[in-house]
Amino acid sequence: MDVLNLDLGTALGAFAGSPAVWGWLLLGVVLGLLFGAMPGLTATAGVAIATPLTFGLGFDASMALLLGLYCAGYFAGSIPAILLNLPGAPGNAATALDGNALARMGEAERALVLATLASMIGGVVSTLILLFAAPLLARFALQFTAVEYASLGLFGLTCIAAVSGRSLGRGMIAALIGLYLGTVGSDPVEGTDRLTFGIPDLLGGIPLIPALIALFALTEVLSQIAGHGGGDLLPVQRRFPVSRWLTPLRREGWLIGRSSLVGTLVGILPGTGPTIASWLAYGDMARGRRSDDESLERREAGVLACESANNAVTGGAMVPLLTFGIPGDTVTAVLVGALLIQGIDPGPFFITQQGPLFAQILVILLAANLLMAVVTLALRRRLPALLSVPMRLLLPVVVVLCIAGSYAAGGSNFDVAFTAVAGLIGYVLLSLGLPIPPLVLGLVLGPIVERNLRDALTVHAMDWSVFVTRPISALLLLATAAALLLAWRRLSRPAG
Amino acid sequence: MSTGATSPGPTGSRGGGADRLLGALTLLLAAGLWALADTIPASAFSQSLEPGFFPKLVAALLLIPAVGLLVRPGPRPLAAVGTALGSLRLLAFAALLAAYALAFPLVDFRLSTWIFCLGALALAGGRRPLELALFPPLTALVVDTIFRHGFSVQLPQWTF
Repeated sequence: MDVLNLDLGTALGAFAGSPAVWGWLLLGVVLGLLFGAMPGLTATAGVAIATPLTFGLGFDASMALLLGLYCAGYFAGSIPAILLNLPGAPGNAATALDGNALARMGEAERALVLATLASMIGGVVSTLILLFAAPLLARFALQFTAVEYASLGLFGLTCIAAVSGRSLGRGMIAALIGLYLGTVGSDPVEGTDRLTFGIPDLLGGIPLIPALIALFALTEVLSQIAGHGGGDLLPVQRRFPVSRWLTPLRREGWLIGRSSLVGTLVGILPGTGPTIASWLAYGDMARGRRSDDESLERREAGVLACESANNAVTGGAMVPLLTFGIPGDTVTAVLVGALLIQGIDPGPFFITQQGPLFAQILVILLAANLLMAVVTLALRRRLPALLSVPMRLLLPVVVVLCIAGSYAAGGSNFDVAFTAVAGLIGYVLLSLGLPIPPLVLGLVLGPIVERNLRDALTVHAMDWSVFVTRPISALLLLATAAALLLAWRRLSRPAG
Repeated sequence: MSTGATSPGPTGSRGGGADRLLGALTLLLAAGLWALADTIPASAFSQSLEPGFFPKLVAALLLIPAVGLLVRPGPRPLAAVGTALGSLRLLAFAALLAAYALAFPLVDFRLSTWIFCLGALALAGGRRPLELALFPPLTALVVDTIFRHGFSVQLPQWTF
């Protein structure tokens, strides 16, 4: 650690004294905010587009551009999620639940500030964990096989109780519909077509980004149209003075710490990502709180949990990348290319042999999180102004962004038609009393549970006992049982 | 209105109808989904669970909450569902949205967006002539420019 400390000091000094690197970092943060906030466009797309630009840049400048884009891109999807109930990326879908509810209470600025600060804290915590425990965590991640992934997915499904509202029955129906939809597409083990009705665009499964856009934003627009024709404004937005920022952070400090840890741990597991992290953190937050609690404090906790976990994935995903050369998520997969452009081979010897570069990455990650927070907080008063636009003007714009965004996500005309159909079906389900979040949860986690369950049983010759004989899986299943018990007790507690 | 745990429509005096309807529909859905899952071909060489196992399991699990809602319905009245789905304005907006999405690959994005925004604005209560004249084309141009030049997304365009 001595060597790392020395390198960190040098890297800090070099970074602080280089205005050009700051400039690239600022550009990356701004681009990340734009890409992340635009529905259909993700941080992955932004980093992929920016990577070829780094051919002519040095290591520090290219990392500043890409890591700035990475951190800001993961956070920025929460801005439209809070303001319009339109998650910019799947990882911000859980934020929309309480973030948009706060905006409807006239507290959009509060939601934006807390989301920003939580994202920054999550990012910083995960970077510090990367600094002190990268090799240890990487070894832990290597113990995750299909058995553990299946159990983790099952644990994630316990969030259904947290997002079902007052009726667990309706929540279960919605979640099961989501799970069923998650089985559409080419069978993950045998490659058989399942429930695609001969539509080639469905072979890859239900397109997730168009589905999220439809289920969150289009159902919202249709509800507004059915409710009152879109003539009303949202409540007048209240200010959230700087002097009050620390109160919810202090009150929920333990929750933010736990959520950051959840995000980091999920981040180090390849094939997972911010979507799962934020739902797990949301479920953790909801456990032990009343299901009918719609107070300001409860909403604040929801935003803080989701966003700290969401951005903690950034540091976590760098762990397998820098220790084994295995990308932890889609953005770090693109970052492998960026490192290779610089002539750097990320792998088992990177930290030991390229200590100064590792230190530079850590410093840039920290700076990216801080700069992302500074830029967003500077805009905190301007962003809620969007909500003062009359609904009759806002609703058509949201629909146009949904359609253009769903096309941008995959460049497919099918995705556009799918978005419209899914939005209409989502509204019918909502009208029947089904909550949308459990459906989304089922859609996201279903394929993970099924694929890994079947992989695990294939590898272990259909021996189901493997799920309880492997210690991490057994612990996760125990946690699942405990979470279900807690949810049952919480839901059966009389209201009041 | 939020996509959270709430649902559209007012509440009335006669409760439970909405949940009973939902329970009955879910029973039908479970049967339909099971039948669909039954059509998934099974492999003779499979060494793991069949491809249809998970869909069938989910379809079977749907029976539990469906029966639960039929036996112990919540207070939401049936009229709430009808109110939420029966609005003429909603049906017109849904038709406009469907037409916009279907026309997307065929029509220049700027033109289809212009027409959609005009219709949507009128349905959402826009009556000011200046608003109706300026808002739709401006929205179409701004969104098209942002996606095309800002994010390099080539939205459908007619070239002359």
